[in-house]
This record gives sequence, C-alpha cells and structure tokens, in this order.
Amino acid sequence: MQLPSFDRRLALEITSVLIVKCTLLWLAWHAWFAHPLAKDMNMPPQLVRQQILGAPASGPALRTPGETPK
Amino acid sequence: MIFAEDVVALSRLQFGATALFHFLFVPLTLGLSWILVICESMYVMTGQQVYKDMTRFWGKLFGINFAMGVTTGITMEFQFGTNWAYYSHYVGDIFGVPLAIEGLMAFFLESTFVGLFFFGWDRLSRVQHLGVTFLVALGSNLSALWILIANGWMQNPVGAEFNYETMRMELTSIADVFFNPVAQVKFVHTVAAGYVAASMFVLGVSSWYLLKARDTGFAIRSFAVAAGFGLASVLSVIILGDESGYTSGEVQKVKLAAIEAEWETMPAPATFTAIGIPNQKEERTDYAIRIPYVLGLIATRSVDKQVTGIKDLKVEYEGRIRSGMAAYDALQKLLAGDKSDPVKQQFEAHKHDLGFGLLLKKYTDKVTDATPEQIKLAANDTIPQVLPLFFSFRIMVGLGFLFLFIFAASFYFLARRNLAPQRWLLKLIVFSIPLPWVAIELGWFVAEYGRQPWTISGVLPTMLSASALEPGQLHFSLLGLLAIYSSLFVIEMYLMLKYIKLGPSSLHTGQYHHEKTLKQGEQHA
Repeated sequence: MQLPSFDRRLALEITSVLIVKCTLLWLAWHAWFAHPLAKDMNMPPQLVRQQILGAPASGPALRTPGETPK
Repeated sequence: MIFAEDVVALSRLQFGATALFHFLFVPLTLGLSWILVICESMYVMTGQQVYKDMTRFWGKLFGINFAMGVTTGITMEFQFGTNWAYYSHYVGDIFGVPLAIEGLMAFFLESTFVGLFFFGWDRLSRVQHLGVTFLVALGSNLSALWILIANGWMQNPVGAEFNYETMRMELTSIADVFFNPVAQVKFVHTVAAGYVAASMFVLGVSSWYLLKARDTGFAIRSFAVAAGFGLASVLSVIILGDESGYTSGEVQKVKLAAIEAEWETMPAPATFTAIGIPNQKEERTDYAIRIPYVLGLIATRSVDKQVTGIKDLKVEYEGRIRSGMAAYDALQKLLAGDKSDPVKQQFEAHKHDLGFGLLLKKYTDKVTDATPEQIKLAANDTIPQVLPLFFSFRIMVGLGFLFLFIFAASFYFLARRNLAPQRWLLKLIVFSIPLPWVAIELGWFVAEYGRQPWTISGVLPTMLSASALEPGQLHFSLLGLLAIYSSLFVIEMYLMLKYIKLGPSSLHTGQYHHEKTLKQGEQHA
C-alpha cells in the first residue's frame, strides 16, 4: 500500500517508538517484575495468613484456590 | 511489625507515578476518538473534503497519542504481582475478570480497528470507514469501563465475600460488580472528563491556527466541533461529578467528609465549606467560608438529612474496629482448626468488619488484645489527610467551571459569527490546553488518596497489601520507570508539536498553509 510521504514518515516514527517502547518495557519487566510473589494473582494461602494474622506459616493444611473441599 | 512503612510508601509512590503517567495519554484517546467520529460523520453526510481532512489530521494526532499511550498501563499490572502480592491474592478472584475483559477489548477490538482506521481509507467505503472509526471510539471507551469497574470495586467492594480457607475475597455476584453504582458514576464522570480534555486540545490547536491566521476554514470547523462537543461534555462532567458526590455520600462517607473538611455532624441541611484551611490536628477548618444548604443537597439530595462529620465517623469506626477484633479472634480459631458452630457464627457475625480489625496491626501484633488507646489510634487512621483532598477537590472543581466558561464563550461567539475579534478568548484557550489534564490528575488523586488507608475500602488496609520488598529494589525500579515514562512523554510532546506545527499540510493535499506558501515561493522564484 502506497502511503503519502508524510504518512510514511509518521508511520516510521511511530513504529520506531513502539519498538523502543516495547523493548524498554520488556527490559523493565525482566529487571524488576519477572518474579512476582503473586503469580496470576494467587499466592499460597499460608503466606497470606502469615501476612494478615502475623502467625507462623505452619498450621492445619489449607485449601488453595480452586482446590475442592475434602 | 511485619511490614515496613517505607516499603508501602515507595510501592504507593511507584504505582501512583505510573498511573499518573498512563493517565496523561488516556483522556485524549477517549475524547479524540469521538471527535473523529463527529468529523467523519460530517464528511459522510456532506461529502466535503475538509471534514475528511479534519478526520485524517486529528486522526494523526490520535495515532501518535495512541501509540505512545498503549501498554503504558501494563506496568501497573506488573506491579500488582510484584509490589502488591497480598492485595493481588486477596482480590484476584474479582479483579481478574474486568482486567481480562479490558485486555481483550483493548488489544483485539481497539487495536484492530485503529489499524483499519489508518490503512482503510482507500479500501473501505465512506460508511464502512465511519463504522471502523466508531468501533475505535467504542473500544477505547469500553476499555475504560472495565478498568473503572475494577477500580469502582476497590472503592465499594460489592458482590464478594471473604473466604477464610483461601484467604481471599471470592466473587458472589458478577452483576453486583458490573453494576456497582460507584463504578458506573466513575465511568461516566471519567470518560466525560476525557472528552473535555480532547475538546480543549482540538479547540486550543484550532485557536492557535486562527491566531496565526492560517488554514482558517479547517480551523474554524475544527473549533466548532470541539466547542459543541466540549460544551456538552463539560456540562456532563459537572452534573456527573455532582452524582459522584451523592454516591460518595451514600457509600464513602469518610471520603466525602474529608473532601469537605466536615469535622462535626451539622444539623441538616449541611453547609458547604467553599474555602478555608483545614487543621487536622485540631479538627477544625480555619478561615472557613460556608455556603448554606449546598453540602446537604449534594450529598443527600434533601434538606432534612444529615451528613455525618469526621468526629462521628471515627466513633462509628471505633465500634467497627472492636467488631473487627471479634472477627480476627474467630478467624484465628478457625485457622487453628476450631470449626465449632459458635466460632463460625462469631466469624459470620463480624467478618464484614475484619478489615477494621486489621488496622490495629500497625500498633500491635496481638489484635485481639488491643488497648483502647490503640483502638483510638487505628480509628484516627481511617481518616485520610484532609488538607490535600480539600484543596485538590476545589482546584478540580474551579477548573471545571473555567472550562464551562471557555466552551460556553467559544460556542456563543462562534454562533454569533464573531469569533475572530475575540483574540483574548483564543489566547486563553491556547494557554488552557494543559488544564484539563491538571483537573483530571487531581480528580484521580481525590478518588484514590481519599480511599486511604485502604486498598479495598473497609476490607484490606494498604499497609497489609504490599509485598515485603527491599527499599533499594523499589528505588531502583521507581527511577527506571520514571525515566522510561519521561522519555515517552518527551517523544509524545515532540511528535505532537511537530505535526501540530505542520497542521493539515501534513496531509499532503496541496490545499493547506505550508504547501501553499511553498507553491507561492516557487512561483515568485
């Protein structure tokens, strides 16, 4: 598809910026956010219990989200 | 203590800074997309080339902003898992739904049709292309809807119950989450504010062309579209902002009382403090100028209902903290394996106040043994800092009325065909271009800072939501993100200014200022 010259320039500029931006965001993710404590917005309930109740993680076994009750 | 306050503050700063930068791009996308729909509808209806040129030119600026803004919000989602792990787990069951739908809306609907908008001019009929532009606008605005449904749930967590076994909130009614009144009001208020920002942008750039006496036919038509759309939008923002105040009066009483610096519960109808200097330590507002009836009317839509003041809310919250201690006690027993009926009944009776009990963790690890003094301190914490909320809100409202004046005056002089001599107005509009962004960021600040000390109102305190990271990690990532976003902002400004200066000449039609000047120069030569 033939674009007018100014459109071509803008498309080139935007494409360059998008590539740089995606690279920077990927680097940011890799450097700081690649190892989330809560992967897929889930954590072991024992850890949450420790944070919320300030109690040791050991204790009766708890169900994880999605696990069916026994 | 099991949390470090500086880590929480740094995590908040990082999230706030990211949201602030992201929201520089969003309002223009939301509003400019509808302005494109209006311009292109004019083109389809009249067949006049100038409307097609308007759609293509403003579309170019839309494209620059869209390209700069798209995915800048993704680092907030990164931060959920890394910096706000406990929050993420606590709310993941509810929060995941609107965020996932937003991802689908943003990337599949919006991005697909943005591509068709730019590359479909020669391949689609006029009506088909207008349909594409409409879908771009719809997709952008629907993305905002899902994000604000998620945010609205943080302000008013409905349709969910806490499950002590999974230690998280679990969805009980998706309809309640979707039709949350806070989310609905936030959505319409926020998108209307975006329309005002975009209208001011188009109005301002058009005014600049008019002041320079270049491309006047193009500029005056763009000015007309922006003045009409802007006037309707700013009226909507003001009316919907009032509705937002009413909703806050219903479900976020403490935020409303803090915004209004209403320390005492006054006899109905409550007066509105137009201006003053809130003194949180002494719990009074110095040099207050009050307007009778107004707060009562805004917050209760009546003249006989009270608006509860901060002091009474603290007393109410002390009661909820004590109830939260009972919930905490039952939760401890349940998790220790005592699932007897009395314990379950105790938990059921008090679980809605568990979050208030958790506020005590700032002062003691033994929540159930908290002293009256510690309860009082925790109750004090339920009140956000009043001074910044008070002034942010008033500046936002003041700017809203300035915009109303600008759009109304623009519309008036345009209708009287007397715009060109009003150079003062055109200059005022050019200098006002950044102001809607100031108002929008202040509005965001009022909404989110006013929610403190909670990440989820009444359910999860902010101090318990953050991950246990090292301050060094947060400093480093914060500086890195600020550097990335500042660079993007500078590039956006550079590209925007470059194409604004070129104006419609950048369309290369041979009809506009720079190309005509060039032709004339060649002829003279």
